[in-house]
Amino acid sequence: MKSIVFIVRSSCDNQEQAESAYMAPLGVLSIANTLRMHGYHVHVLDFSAHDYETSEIYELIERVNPIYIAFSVYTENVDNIFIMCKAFKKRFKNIPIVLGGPHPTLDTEYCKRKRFVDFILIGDGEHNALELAEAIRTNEKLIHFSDIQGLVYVDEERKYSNGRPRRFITNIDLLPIINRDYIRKCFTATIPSMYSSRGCPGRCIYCAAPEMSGGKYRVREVENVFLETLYVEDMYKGYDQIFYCDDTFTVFNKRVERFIELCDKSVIKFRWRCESRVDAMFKNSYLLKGLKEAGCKRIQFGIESGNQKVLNNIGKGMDLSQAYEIIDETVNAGIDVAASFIFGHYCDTLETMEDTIGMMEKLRELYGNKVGVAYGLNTPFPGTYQYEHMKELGIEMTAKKFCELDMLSPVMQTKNFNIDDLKRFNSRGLKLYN
Amino acid sequence: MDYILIICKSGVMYSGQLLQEYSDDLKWIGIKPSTKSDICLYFATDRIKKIYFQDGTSETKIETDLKEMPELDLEIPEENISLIRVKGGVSYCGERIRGEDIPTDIHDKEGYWISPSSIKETIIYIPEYEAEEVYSI
Repeated sequence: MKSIVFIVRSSCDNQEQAESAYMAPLGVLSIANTLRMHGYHVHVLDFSAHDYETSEIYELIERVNPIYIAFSVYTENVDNIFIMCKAFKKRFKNIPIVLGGPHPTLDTEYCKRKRFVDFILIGDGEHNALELAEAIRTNEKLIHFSDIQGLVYVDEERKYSNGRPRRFITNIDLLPIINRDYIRKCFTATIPSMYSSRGCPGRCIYCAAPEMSGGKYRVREVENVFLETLYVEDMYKGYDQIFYCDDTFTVFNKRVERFIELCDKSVIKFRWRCESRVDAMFKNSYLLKGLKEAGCKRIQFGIESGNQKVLNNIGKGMDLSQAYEIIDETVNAGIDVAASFIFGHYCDTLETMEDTIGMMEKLRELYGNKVGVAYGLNTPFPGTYQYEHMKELGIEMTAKKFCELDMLSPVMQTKNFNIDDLKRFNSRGLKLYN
Repeated sequence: MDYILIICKSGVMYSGQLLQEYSDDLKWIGIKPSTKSDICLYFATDRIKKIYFQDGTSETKIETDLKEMPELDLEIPEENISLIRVKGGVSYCGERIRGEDIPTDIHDKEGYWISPSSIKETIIYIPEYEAEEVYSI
């Protein structure tokens, strides 16, 4: 039996926070299921589900002797992952160490640590993780490392070779449905998650989604989404709401109409929430009644700023008046709203951030608990437009390490606001947060 | 034709549109996971634990705790292996199945037929025009 071990560290590395709102690592689980289908026994060790002792992991690796150990790497945990990789390589010299996930995709060069990283998987991981397993298993008789698309490997001269360019999965319906049985904790989550699409049609300058998915927005057939929902509903007894964690669930109205129809005809009813965009929901607001009847309990809108000029400058493509209107219509349709904001856009000033606070206050005043307001502090992650154009945008990063990019701490300033200003807005935002 | 979701003994799960009306007599259930592709997957019915139907009903064929990871008994084939990159960006790998070895219940069509496991829980049909690159040993 051929085994593979996947290690997932929480993106925030804050055990308490990770445990309170457990989200299954769907990307890793999707890769694990692709490998399972091909006969590989995959072990997924998720630190958000269980705080593993190093000795526990060592014992597992010694027992199953995996053909590789793969780490799922987020920007904020990359340096902690390196520490683990180094220790693992020292102990298990002959087992390849593989990195994959957002950070290796968006900042590949940073991940090239020759002494202890053997392979880097870039982009969607299902196909290249399988091809890598087959290359290792057959000693490259079936496929050479150099033929694998989206794989960085160490060549014969002990240099990293980038191999063939990454390949995008454009038809995600061809992948297996995600079985969550790798992580028992998945089934006790109160907000079980699943996705119905990958990528986002938006091009916001603070978001890495376009770069992660190569600007491609890929949707699953809605019947497949509905059937997976039935499985999730069946498995997660005691759940609160199923969460479609796509960046935008409601882009295509015909698809949403069909989803509503499937829900309507189904003998099993379920409660769910999703994320949407103001512009997408605004033009399809006639769907709200059907969404309510289909069990939708909450829609999250990324508003991001209470100032129209800021929204225009960050590529949000949204009209504030439409935001107020669609929030009102959604609440009136009987669906709760979560509105999220960001303080510290490159073009923010103290006045524009006051506008954002003002909008948060107004929404609370108008709708009470029907509209939850949430916020984060602007964080230039690798892969985002603002990260690649910091100088041009006048951004000064004050954070010195990637682990500081937790979206809760101020990490940048401009000529219009400094770290202390962001701290003050953070405190004020916290009082409105619900 | 309706869509179904299948959970196999190994824990492999797939959903797609049925290739023929579902019935208890079928030895293989074929589905098309995507209307944008002609790739089909066939599942041996004696290895199916549960099926979900699009009307919200379900049928348990093998009583088991689906939250427990099953003992994986899929063996990786050692010979006549092909790794096929298909349109849509996905790769499938498995033992090539010759025409005469394709179960008679499955309608024979020209193209690649592979089984990711020598147990043949799943058989994948890939039309030639959907295969972008093929690696074989």
